[in-house]
Amino acid sequence: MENKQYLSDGIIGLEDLASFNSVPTTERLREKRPVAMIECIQEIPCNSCVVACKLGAIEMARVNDVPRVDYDKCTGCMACAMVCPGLAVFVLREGDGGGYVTLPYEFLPVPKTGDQVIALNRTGTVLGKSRVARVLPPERNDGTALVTIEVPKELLLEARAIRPGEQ
Amino acid sequence: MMTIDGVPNVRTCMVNVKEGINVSRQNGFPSADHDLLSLMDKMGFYFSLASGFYHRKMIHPSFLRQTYLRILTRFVGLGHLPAKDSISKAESSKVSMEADVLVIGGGPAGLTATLEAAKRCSKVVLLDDKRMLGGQLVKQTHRFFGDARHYAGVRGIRIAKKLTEQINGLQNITTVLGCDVFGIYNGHIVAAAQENRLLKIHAKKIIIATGAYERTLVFENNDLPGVYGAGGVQTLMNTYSVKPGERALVVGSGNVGLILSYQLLQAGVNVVGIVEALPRIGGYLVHAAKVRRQGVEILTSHTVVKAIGRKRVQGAIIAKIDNSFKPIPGTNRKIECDLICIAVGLTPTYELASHAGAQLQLVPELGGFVARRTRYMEVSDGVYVAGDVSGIEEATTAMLEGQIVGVHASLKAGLGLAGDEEQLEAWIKRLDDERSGPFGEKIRRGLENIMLPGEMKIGEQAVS
Repeated sequence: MENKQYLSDGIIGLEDLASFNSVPTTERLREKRPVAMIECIQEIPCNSCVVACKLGAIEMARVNDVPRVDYDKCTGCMACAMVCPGLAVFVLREGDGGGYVTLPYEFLPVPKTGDQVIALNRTGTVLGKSRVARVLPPERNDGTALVTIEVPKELLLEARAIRPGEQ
Repeated sequence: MMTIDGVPNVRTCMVNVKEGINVSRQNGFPSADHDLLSLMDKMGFYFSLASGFYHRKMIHPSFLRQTYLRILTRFVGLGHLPAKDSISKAESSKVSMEADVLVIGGGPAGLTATLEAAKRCSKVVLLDDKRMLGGQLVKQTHRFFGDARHYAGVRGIRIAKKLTEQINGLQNITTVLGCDVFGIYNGHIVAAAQENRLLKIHAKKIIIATGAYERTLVFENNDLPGVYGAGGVQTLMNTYSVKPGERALVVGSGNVGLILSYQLLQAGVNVVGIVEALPRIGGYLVHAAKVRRQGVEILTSHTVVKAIGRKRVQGAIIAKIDNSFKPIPGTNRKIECDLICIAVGLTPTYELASHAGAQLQLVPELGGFVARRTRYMEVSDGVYVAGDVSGIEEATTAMLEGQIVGVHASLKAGLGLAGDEEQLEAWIKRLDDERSGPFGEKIRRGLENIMLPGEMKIGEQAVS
């Protein structure tokens, strides 16, 4: 395997993702339908997202290949985000004024709609406060909650984790 | 190691608490808290007692050697055998059983092997040393990777529950828990002990699915309370809901180390860092990214050189290491933590396979000594291996191997079903697919050297 920086620090950078065509275009992000961004650029034996996608929007010839999303077919339905064992699927949408990032969350307490949380980037650095717009509770998805947070649209491709905010 | 009800050297972590149990220390005088011999830790410098010193010192004059040995052995804390009249008078019994297929080990490989065999045979026996089935699956709270037709996206604990329910629902499976297998004789007689019961099982075919041991790491003070193996920490948190500490340092960035770090975070433990001796992360990048975005730093080309603390871990010294894994002077760094979790890999439990006549080979790519086998995982006539015992890999591949051996053992016992041969080929193909990526490269390389050509003939042993 190649000697990429992410293999020694665990930080998958935006440019790494771009080199695998794993970043939806700005135009696509602006569409009404949300879109899945799969941050899975290493060849590992897993195809759960492909099988979960009912639209055939994720391509993978062999189980060890990297998934490729057809952003035109993808409707952002979150089926892949719900099952991904690597918690590597983020569903994005750019709305009026702000951006919405849906991310998998497996910690307690589970945030509720309207809560203030702290948004973090891929290195765990604090980006700022964020409001929870929607929550798919963990009991509806075998323990993995899907939390949608509101972020400024320039952070749509940056905010990738949350931690509870001071109440 | 402690003395339980008079029996020395018991792994207390494996014993269920019961009314009236008598647990006592077997090392440290006058007590574990105030151990006089702990002075030696401080004075060792004056005596220059390096480990293994007794091979060179205290051996002269020769007539005193036995006396030295007796005294030194007491210091080591091996415990004392119980006095004859204090041994429990509980009744012991011998049980004899028969099985078409006998499976040793109820982890992912053993469970699927048992189920496949039970679809074909009238009598299947499953033995496990734990109090519940599932093996390592019972602490795997994360979703599995793999082929979606084969449990990908499902949590390990759910798989354990599902397979265990299926097994408990079948009348032709006899499950014996809390039972240690200590020998395989003549290739078809399995001897096991379950408390005061001795089991002798005649089996037409034997499947060994005993998994692996955790490797450990040598560093100063690695025997301080607070230094744990990754599996032990997972058992505490995920099986018994006990928070093991407040600040954890994880050693090893394979999938076990990464998943453990994530589970520690879920349990509310602050993970202060993950150190990895190799220059790159060993496990899946997605697992690494998952802990990294919670702010956990992964330090490659680093190792732990010392645990700090007197009675329990209060910190650790880590250092950067060079290409030959030697700490680089001047790079020592102190980390505040009360928990050091060792996740530096596993090594197969090859002993029973060896006892059954399999030919062993040291294959570093597979984690240590493994048995040479046919493509159906047969290691000597009628004896099979499946799962980590055959080479360290993932639970998903272990389950596939279990299915393969379950079917092949039944077939060879003359109890196969129509279509079994095609089924076997399909599973072997799927196994090859799983291993076809870069993460399977090491496994493929390891397997190359240990495959026996053709099929095992009746009465054949791998030993030449």
